[in-house]
Amino acid sequence: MERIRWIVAAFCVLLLLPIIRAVRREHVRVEYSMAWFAATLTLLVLSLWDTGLQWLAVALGVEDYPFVLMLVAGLLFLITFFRLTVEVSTLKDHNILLSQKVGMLDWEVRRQATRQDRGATRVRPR
Amino acid sequence: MPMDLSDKGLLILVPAFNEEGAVGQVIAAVHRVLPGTTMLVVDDGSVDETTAVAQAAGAQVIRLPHHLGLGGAVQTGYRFAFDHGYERVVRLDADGQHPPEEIPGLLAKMDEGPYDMVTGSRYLEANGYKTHALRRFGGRIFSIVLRPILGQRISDPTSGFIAVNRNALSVFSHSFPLEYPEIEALVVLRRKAMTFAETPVHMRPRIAGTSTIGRWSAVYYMVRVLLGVFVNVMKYEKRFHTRERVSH
Repeated sequence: MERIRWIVAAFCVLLLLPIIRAVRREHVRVEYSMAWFAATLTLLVLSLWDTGLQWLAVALGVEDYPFVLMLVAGLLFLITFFRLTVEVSTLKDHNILLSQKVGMLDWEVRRQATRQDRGATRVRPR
Repeated sequence: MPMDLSDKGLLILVPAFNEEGAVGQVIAAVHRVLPGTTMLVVDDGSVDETTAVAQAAGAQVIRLPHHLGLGGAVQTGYRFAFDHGYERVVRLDADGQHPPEEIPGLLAKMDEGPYDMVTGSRYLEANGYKTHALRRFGGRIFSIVLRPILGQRISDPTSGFIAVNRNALSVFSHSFPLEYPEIEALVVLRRKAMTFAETPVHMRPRIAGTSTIGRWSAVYYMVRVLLGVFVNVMKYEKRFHTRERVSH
């Protein structure tokens, strides 16, 4: 087996360890770890499974098997990064909305406090 | 200091980020021109005394818990205005570049159409306003790109001196660009089949502080805005739909 496949297999095992550790310690949520597990395990299987890699190379019309491994790795991580970018964008939208609501609620609380200070008891309907 | 919002007609919105040197004068100037009008300053996570200065000058102040950027701050004001039933909002920069004396002109133009949004343009009439060559070049590029998209000429697409009515508020309170919002906002409005126009205004040099767009970040600005415009063009799902009015 080519040296690059051993390197990829070893890298995948080394990558799995911090992923598992991060999930166990709740530094990474389980739903977000799925993409990393899927990508890493796919690469690990392909790097160790000679027949599978050859079949994929033939299917893709590529003669150099390790190149297929790199291609798959690149595609998997691109998909993973894209998914995370979508998640980050969604979280940013939520964060903006929350910040705006916090700012408006803070204004409302100060307004109510000022009214109470003035002794006003009737709240004007909106 | 918070107070009752009795006038539901017009809200003057001033997004501010570290503008303690100018925001007080801006508020005082607005009060001289439009006494009794409610002013809302959205403090976008300033680390100086912007909030204290604005409150002392008699404005309502919404303090954001952290810096959202200009679009996030402006949208906060639009959300506030929409939720509290305001009919029209005029946005002024907190650095003193937008003379409050021009506000009645913006509102008069809005009634003329009627238009959902009116922008104050520095370049619609020759008024001696001087700006950096790179900024003029960028504005020219944007005008050329926007003309076929908007179906009308926009002479000053980067102007932040803007009046909007409740129809536009209904859109912007839910969908508003986060970074460099002025140009994308035009495309968003067009996508919703709303109308807008420009009216000539005089602008002044900023009272204090420096522009957030430097010469190098101007390149990022142009690329970012053009990408945003094209993304919005791709979302033209309601381009030919009948204009929907918000019930007042």
